[in-house]
Amino acid sequence: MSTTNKLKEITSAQNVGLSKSFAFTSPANAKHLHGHFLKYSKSKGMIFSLDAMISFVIILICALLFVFALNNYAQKAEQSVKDFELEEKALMIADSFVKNLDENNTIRGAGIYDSDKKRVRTNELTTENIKKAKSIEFGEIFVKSLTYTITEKSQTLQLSLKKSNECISAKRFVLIDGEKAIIQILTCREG
Amino acid sequence: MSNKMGLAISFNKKGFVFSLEATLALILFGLMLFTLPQIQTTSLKELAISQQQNDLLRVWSAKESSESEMSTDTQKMFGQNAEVWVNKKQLLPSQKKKNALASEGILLDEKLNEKRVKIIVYYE
Repeated sequence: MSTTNKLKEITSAQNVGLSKSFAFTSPANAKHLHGHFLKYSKSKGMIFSLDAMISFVIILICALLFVFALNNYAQKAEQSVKDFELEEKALMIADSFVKNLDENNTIRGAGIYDSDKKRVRTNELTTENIKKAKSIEFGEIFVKSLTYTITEKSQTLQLSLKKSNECISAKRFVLIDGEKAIIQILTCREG
Repeated sequence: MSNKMGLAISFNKKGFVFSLEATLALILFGLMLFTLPQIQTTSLKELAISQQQNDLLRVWSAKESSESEMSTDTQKMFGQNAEVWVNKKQLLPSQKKKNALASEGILLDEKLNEKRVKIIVYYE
């Protein structure tokens, strides 16, 4: 049998689903066709070129950069939400302090109740009410101190001894016992 | 001349050449970086400023204040970043002209004379 015929035989054997080894009828034939078989196998092989490898590495680096950028974005977004929460609580506490009245804990409201008008007079406080203030907590957020300044005389009430690195001070302009004063409430995140 | 031309051509051959695929890939990569989401930092600075402006107006309405007192009170709260106007007369000037937030109120004295007070605060 000629070499060409043998190759045809192999091809037809593969076409009907047989493996290459079954295409040979004897070891002698296999030996005879060895060189041609190698050529055939090379033509079907996968060529992994340098170009492909470099492009693959570049794609991997791009994907890695993208993942780093997303991770960075997520961390910044988390910090931004935390900062916003602290700022919102600080403003809310300060606003409640000058607009409401809660005799149990005057940090929630230290205003003067006007019985004639049946409402709290906003931005009008008393030192007696201010001194009743205690710290309050909203999860990790708490009120650390309260400072009030009446005609250049400043007084600070330390409401909590917890340690903290992130704090926001809310400043309000009020009347305390009929005198103009500035109030600063320091709100912090625990940690 | 012809030698020089030849040198110039050979210099061009050594240059940096992008194929169409490489150019497209670079453009796509650039677009990918450009379309990465940017963080929108939200702040309540405007709310805090408007609350403080409102405080000043409330206190001035509860306790009658002269024009000089109004200037001093505003400076205590906002430093040099605010202007105060009373009946279109400027009491406190400011050099800063960036983002501005204004509040206006009408105060009445014992004789029911009207005072139109405007506070403008400039902030970063």
